[in-house]
Amino acid sequence: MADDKDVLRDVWFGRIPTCFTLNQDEVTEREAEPYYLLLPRVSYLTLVTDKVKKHFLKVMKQEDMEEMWFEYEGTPLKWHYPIGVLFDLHASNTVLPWSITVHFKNFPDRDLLRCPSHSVIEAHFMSSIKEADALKHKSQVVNDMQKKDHKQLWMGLQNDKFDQFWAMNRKLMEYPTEEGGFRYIPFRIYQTMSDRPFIQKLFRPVSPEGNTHTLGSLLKEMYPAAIPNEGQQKRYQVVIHGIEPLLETPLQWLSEHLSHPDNFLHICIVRRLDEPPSPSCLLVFPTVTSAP
Amino acid sequence: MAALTVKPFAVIAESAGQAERSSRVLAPMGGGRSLETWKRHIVRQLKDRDLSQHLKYQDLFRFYTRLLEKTSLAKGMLSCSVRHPSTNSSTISSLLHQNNQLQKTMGELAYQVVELQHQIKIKESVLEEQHTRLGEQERQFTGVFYACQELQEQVEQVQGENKELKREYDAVLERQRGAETRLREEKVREGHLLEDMILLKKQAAARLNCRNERRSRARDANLQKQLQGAARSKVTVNIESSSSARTSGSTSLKKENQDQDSTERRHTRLFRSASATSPRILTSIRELFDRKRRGHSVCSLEEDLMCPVRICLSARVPARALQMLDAHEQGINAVRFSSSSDMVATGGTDRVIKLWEVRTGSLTHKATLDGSTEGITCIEFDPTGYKILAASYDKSALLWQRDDSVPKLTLTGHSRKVTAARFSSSPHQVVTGSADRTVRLWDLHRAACVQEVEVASFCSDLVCCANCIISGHYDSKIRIWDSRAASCVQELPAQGKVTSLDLSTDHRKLLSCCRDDCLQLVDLRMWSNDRMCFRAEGFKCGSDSTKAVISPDSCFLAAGSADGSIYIWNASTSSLEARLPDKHSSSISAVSWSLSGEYVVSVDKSRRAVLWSDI
Amino acid sequence: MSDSAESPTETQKEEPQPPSDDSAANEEKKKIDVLLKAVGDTPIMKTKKWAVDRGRTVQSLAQFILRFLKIDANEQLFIYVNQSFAPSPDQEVGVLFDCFGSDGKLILHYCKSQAWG
Repeated sequence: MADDKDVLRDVWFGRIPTCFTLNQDEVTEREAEPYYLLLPRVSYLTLVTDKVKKHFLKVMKQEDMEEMWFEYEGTPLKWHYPIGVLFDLHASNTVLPWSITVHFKNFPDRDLLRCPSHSVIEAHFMSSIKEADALKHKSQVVNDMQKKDHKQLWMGLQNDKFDQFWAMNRKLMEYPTEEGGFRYIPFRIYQTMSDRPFIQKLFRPVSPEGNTHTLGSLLKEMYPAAIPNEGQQKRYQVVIHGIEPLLETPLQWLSEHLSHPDNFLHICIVRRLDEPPSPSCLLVFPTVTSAP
Repeated sequence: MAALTVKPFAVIAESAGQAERSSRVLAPMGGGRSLETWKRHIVRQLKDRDLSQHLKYQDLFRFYTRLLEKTSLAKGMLSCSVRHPSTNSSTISSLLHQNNQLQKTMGELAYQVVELQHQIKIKESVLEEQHTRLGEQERQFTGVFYACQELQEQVEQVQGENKELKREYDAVLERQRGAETRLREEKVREGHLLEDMILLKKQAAARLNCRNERRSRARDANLQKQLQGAARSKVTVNIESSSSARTSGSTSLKKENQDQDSTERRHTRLFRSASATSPRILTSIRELFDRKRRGHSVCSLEEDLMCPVRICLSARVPARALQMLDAHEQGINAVRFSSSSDMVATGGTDRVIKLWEVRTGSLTHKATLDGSTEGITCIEFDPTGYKILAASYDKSALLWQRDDSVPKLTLTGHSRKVTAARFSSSPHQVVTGSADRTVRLWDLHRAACVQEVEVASFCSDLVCCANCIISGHYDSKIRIWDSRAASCVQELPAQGKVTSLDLSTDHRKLLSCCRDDCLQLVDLRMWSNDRMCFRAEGFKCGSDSTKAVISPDSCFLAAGSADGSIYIWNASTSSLEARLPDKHSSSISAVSWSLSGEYVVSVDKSRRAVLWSDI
Repeated sequence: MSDSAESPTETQKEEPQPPSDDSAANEEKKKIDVLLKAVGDTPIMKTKKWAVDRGRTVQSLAQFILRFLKIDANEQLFIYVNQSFAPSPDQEVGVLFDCFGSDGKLILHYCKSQAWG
């Protein structure tokens, strides 16, 4: 349906306005201007921040630059999470643009994985796809694909080619009609409040009785606290791709259309700001002043 | 650096109120609200999100980035230029200085420009020159190229001609080679033929040698026997031995032979004289003369100067055959008594002459003379009786000495068979007549032909008298020749083909036997051609060489007939005197009357010789 | 051949484990059975079956295997689930067990070099 296609496109082309600021402790030759960039929600930090590095290279010596890493308000940002997930999880209702601090020293090995090259990102991405397909189709579809098909998926993501990517990805979204859906829905539920990184369990899209499971049924199963009881105020927001789908949205449809390119449905549970009409999200318009 | 503005775009805030949202959502298709609600909600949410998060910042970030780039560029440029010293005056002076320097460089450069232009001109002229030279070279090249092409054509032509010549040469060579091989073959064949011929000749020579050897051996053996015989018998002739000893010559062996001969002769003489008749008195007288002739060198014939003419007083008509014998192996052509009447020579087709001794009515074979390679046609004794001349079919006339079976002389020169050979009246001369229509005179000293006379026809027989040669020819003519001038003196016609001639002992009468069975007697003294013809019934001339004879006393004529009988005519009465048949079985070829008149010997084609006498 | 052995008592550095939410707390204490299988020419573990804390990360398990096999710790070890994908190093083995465990254990293949891409 046309709406579905639009949804897919909107999901793919989602952007987050970001402001990269160099950490003050970094040794610079002169003051570094911040760098503004629209980051794709579905990509990974280390894949799209080459320009940032180049920008800050202008003011820093090469020998002072180790591996670049990012943090937001003290939290190191894991590059192997999709950018959209990171934003929704950490800066969902904050002012835009998203202010990320750039570090070149003191890489936090405890918190972050190293990303020496793009092939590491590719390996991680492909592994995620395989893991997702292991849940969806017992790895049959992804194993039937050839190496070049896998490559096409990665290249589609790397070069921001929607059509190229979805030419292959649609195969992963197919399911035998008698099943009614995937075998299991690949999903991850992220929450800031818990120490566990995410919740990932087996969950069928269709109940044994034949009922379609919805987002609500998933949450009820996996994270009941997200669903308010009768009369209780909503304490959490269930954010996927920066939006809050209705709880009656079918899970199968969500998995097909609102998955990330890695075929996982990344769901962020964020604590709701208490004042509903309060300026939970302030729009920011940065102005540029003359150089000092 | 970022100012915050609040926009009453509380779209996101609204998103919290899900319940209200659902009511505000338009139902586009009018379908089930519950089914599409969530989807529409999501769609709307996404759109709003994009609006607030993406679209607003898009242009901004772009401009910002571009501005950043520009500023960094400008900063870079400025930083470059900031490096110079900052005082103004120094800048101006330095600028002026720079200006001066630039002007100087400009001047220099202008000068360089002029220089370079000049060089360019020079180079251009050089280039022009090169171009013209190149053009010339090209022209020359084309000329040379055409010449080369022409030459190539000529070369091709010549090559073509060469090929032609070569082909012709090859053909000729082929032919030459063929000819050469043929030549070689012919040569080989020639060689073979030569070899064969040589072989044959060798064989013939070997045979001759064998025969000669055999003969010499036989002679030796004979001699031995005779010697032995002589040694055994007693001989008491003293005078003769001494005279013989006197007249003996150089060669011992020949002397011995001659001695033998003399003793033998004396033997016979003695024997003969025992039964001597009257005419023999004369013969004994002649002995004395005979002895003188003996025992000289081998080939000299000069001794035979004196030969007394023998005369027959009377001939007796033979009446009966004393002896018949098969004298030769093949047919007998000629028979002749020697002048001493004690020897008969017969010769025939078997190529030999057999000498027979006539003694008391019998013929005893004395010797055989060979050397002729073909049959004998005519035999004559010389007046002494020691030389025998024979004419042969082998185109030669042969001369033997009586005791030597090998011919002393061979007179060759005729091109066809020699039909007659006679001792001429001139000493040491022989006349031969031949079928080659010539009559030749031979000199016995030189054993060469001294004169050759062409006659018009086949000469069948000839006789010699004093300075005359008379020849009979197949053209029925008898020609008389002058032996000195060798010219035909007279021509006498005959009745037919002349087969033989005979001269009477007094050389007055000439008998010719003709093929048409007629005998003609011509008186030579009288030129009036007084001729007498003799025919007889039953007399047929048997062959082209049938010989007829006049009796020694010129009274009778004898001839052998084809029917095997001898006819004897009376010369004066021309009537048949006698006829002697039945002794010969075939045609009689020749007869001979002994000088003593006593005997007649006839020979025939079937090898028989018959001795006739009147007793 | 269930040769269970106590997992080494070294505490994991990566994961701070303060018990926060109720539902997770009980399960954290549980251990899961992990069966380690060698791939290729990688040395085989004498003890293959291990009881591992849920909260252990894949990376710590990999390091454990390297130590156990006396391989240099700087060497890379690839861990595969279901012979199909390599989980993220900071992934919890408990999650893997929940999703990909079979017959009460999680089978992991380890290899010194990349096996399934």
